[in-house]
Amino acid sequence: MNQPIPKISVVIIVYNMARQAMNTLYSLSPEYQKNIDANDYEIIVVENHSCNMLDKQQVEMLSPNIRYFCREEKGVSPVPAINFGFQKCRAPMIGLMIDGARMVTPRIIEYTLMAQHIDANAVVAVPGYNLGPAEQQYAEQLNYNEAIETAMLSKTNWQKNGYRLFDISSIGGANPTGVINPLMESNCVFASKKSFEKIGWADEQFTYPGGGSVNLHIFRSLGMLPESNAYFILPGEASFHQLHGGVTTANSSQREAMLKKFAQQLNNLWGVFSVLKREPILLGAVTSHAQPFLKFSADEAMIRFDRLSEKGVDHWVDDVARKQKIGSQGKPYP
Amino acid sequence: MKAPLKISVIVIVYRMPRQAINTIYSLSALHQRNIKEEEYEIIVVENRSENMIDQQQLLALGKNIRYFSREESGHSPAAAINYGFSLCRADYIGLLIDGARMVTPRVLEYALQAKSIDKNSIFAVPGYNLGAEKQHIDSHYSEEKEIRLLSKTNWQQNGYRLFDIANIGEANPRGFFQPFMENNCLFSSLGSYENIGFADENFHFLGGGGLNLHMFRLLGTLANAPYLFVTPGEGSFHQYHGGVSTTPRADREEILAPPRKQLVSYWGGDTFKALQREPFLLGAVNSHAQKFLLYSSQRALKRFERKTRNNEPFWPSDFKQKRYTEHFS
Repeated sequence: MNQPIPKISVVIIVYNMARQAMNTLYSLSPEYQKNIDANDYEIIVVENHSCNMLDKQQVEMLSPNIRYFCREEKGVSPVPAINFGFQKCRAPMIGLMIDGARMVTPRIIEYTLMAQHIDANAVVAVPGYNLGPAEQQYAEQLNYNEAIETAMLSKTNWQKNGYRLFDISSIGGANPTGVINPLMESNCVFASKKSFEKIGWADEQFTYPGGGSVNLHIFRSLGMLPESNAYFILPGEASFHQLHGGVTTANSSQREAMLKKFAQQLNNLWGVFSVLKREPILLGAVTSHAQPFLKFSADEAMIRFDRLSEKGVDHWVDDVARKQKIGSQGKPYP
Repeated sequence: MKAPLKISVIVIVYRMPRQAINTIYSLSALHQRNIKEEEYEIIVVENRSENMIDQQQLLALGKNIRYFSREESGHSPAAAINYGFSLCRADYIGLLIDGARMVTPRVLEYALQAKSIDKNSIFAVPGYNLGAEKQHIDSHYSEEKEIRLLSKTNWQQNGYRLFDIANIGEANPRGFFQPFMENNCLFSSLGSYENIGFADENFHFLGGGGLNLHMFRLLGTLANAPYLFVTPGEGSFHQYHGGVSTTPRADREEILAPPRKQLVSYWGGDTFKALQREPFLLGAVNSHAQKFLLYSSQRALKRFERKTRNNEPFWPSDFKQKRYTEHFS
């Protein structure tokens, strides 16, 4: 029997985080995602072999639109797994979740479908948050741990209303001053398959643990493509990081040295790497749970606008750079 | 063959030539970004008075402007609106019932985006007033003051500067996350306008009385209108022009009472209730508009807290729709 071709393929990379990934997959499933049809999208799970694996049967029972793949990986980077996932995608638009430990809110698929209607080459970025009081590397000193997180999650009954995750979360390290100011990266980012192809998929030079800065590299590369005219942020949606033994988010004495190496690699590729400074188009409703973060974001955006205006710096330099590069279509944004 | 028009915008004008020229400029391709002149048309319908638009000046603003003047013996714009509807060549229509409302530069770009998502839904641009205070309260505010304010702003170069000299509008006084009473820059499909019977000509009072409130609520109540799109970073700005509800005058309440009664008689209850649907944000919010996003967000939090405390649903008008929005109660 021929299955209909989905409109969106979501690639999610899993390594040594079975419990967290099951939560993430449930949050992506049609039982939890609202206002969509299961046939609209597919979820491609790529798991690198470890001692703490997902139960394939249990995964596939979550939804008919989940496809599970397990693979051997000798290296420490998720990049080959990502590219393996890309190869499996059947849809013209791809969502990339490099870290399988990130649960999402209930309308990310609905809104991404809308963005796709507006522009098939739209880039859609979902802002990041952390479950708990802070980034994972500070968890220990704040006496926060997996047991506390698990208890908190079960109390929230998030399966019934995923927006409640905002109530037990803090703003993410990739967007520490909110969702209107520039995002360093997004751990749940959508773009057309063509766009991913054009940036050369995931660059296999990124061989460091966790891929090093590959996600930052992908995010900026996508955002700077001439095709990516429409750059959307979902102000009321989120991806929430769960505690796990991840690389940059875990406490480790070698953290600083490692981050330096990650940054160096990025600068080698970009000259001086800078985060994507483009004006985001907001898309979607903002629930009561997300509204405190939007208020925070508006406040922080005003502070940034004032600071840049005082210095006479354009608010969105990458919009200007893209226009100069590709030739102005329509009038420039003052 | 020419590509079909994507949007028709109807602007109703009566005795406000200076203001209307500003409005049409703000809607023209000289000011609107990321949309081409040939993609839309502006239909100006003017009811005849002793103070008319200079047609030549108007038509010089763009090849996509069509001007019609007509006789009107009544006091309501309803017939002019319906005349405007009959002239539209696009299947997606913007309605500005009050020609004195200037708009920001990406209203049409985002309207097109909303159309591509769902053309039968409402796309609403929040309202603001030029000046520091509400125009019907500030007796020191005058047309001369406004002209000076506008000319200092150089809004023609960057329409977003209008936010710097404006205050939040009466139709959405608590920001755009709270229910709108009405909307003065409203887009939907020709089919949706047809479904609500276009502009009901029974609204014969001065300025149409409650007509605009009535149309907004009807459009928002249509079963096949799944979204209420709202632009957080765009606005329509009311210019002073001696309009019915926006001018300070002693008999304001007296004048407003009969139209209110008419509206209530249509919808039942003791007072007219605003449409309570979850707003769906669409569009960027630049530095000029950001303070209004902050204000709206603050007010939204207060409303959510109150509704939660009282165990009331956040968006009761959504219950007709099949899609999920944030339900509380």
